[in-house]
Amino acid sequence: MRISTSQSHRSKEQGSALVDVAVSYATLVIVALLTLKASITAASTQAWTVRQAMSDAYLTRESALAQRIPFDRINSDTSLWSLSPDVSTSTVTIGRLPGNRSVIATLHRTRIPSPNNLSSAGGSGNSNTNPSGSEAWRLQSILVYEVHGREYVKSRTTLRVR
Amino acid sequence: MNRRSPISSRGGFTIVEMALALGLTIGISGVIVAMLSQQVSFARALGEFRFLQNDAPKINTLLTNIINKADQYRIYPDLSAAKNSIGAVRSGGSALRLRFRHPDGTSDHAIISFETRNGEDQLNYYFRDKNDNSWPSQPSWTLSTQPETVTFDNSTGILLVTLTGDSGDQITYSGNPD
Repeated sequence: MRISTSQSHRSKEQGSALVDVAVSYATLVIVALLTLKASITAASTQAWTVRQAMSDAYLTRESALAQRIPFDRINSDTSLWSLSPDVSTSTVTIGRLPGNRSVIATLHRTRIPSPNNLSSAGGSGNSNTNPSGSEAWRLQSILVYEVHGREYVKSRTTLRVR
Repeated sequence: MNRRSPISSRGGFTIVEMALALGLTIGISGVIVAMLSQQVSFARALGEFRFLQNDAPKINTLLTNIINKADQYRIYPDLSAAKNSIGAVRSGGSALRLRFRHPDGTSDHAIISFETRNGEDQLNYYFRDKNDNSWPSQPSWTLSTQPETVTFDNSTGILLVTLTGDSGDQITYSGNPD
């Protein structure tokens, strides 16, 4: 009877060892998965933040350009901003990621005249409504880019008046 | 019953048990090594973004604050050319010379120069007070040692400052956005 009890006790211990090993494995796998998920989350957050910084920096350049460009070039045939509803579209590189990977975006530009501009400046005003012949344009730049398959759009509008 | 050997009654491990234990040990060790390797890879990948995420914005803030106080700037290929005001360029310059004009008509000058000093890439700031006759030989202060290259460009009429990190990462800021 005592021998039988001892054997039963030993087989229980062996079974317990298997359970221990299984629990260890499971714990390791869970820890590994949690670590992987945390790392992926951190990496994707970084990529998102960096692309936001790049797009902001690029649009700052656009605003600076819109503020500085000579007025005569705004309403010329070679204007960088097409007359609305036309839109001039170009592909631009807004920065590079580690590993020399370019970050590409699409830039849309359009210029919208004030309705009170004279007809020569795209408006419907006349000498009664606009006796000084003042001219106002809204220069709109829209940047479209992707982060992890999601499309983001940012825009900057600059008002130029003379 | 009395003839059973003492060894067998101690209940030693069988070959199968040993093989199982060894296999499990190897398996667990493999998982741990894989986890460590994965962590190292991710740490390296995350570290590569440090320049774009941390260093570049700080440098841009510093440069913008300095440049916006200047009333005039010019781009030169290097520090020596900027000190002597020789050979100004519109793009691809490594030195930016600034003038800070006072109400009484006098001017302070400064140069922001990307250069290699003592084997280290540095973005340095040199300041020459209106009363100084010559430029300091040592930088007044170092803005950053993190960029691999810094170039200045004015070909579009806007001052563009391009910062490149050591992993090929690059961002371009407008130096005078306002």
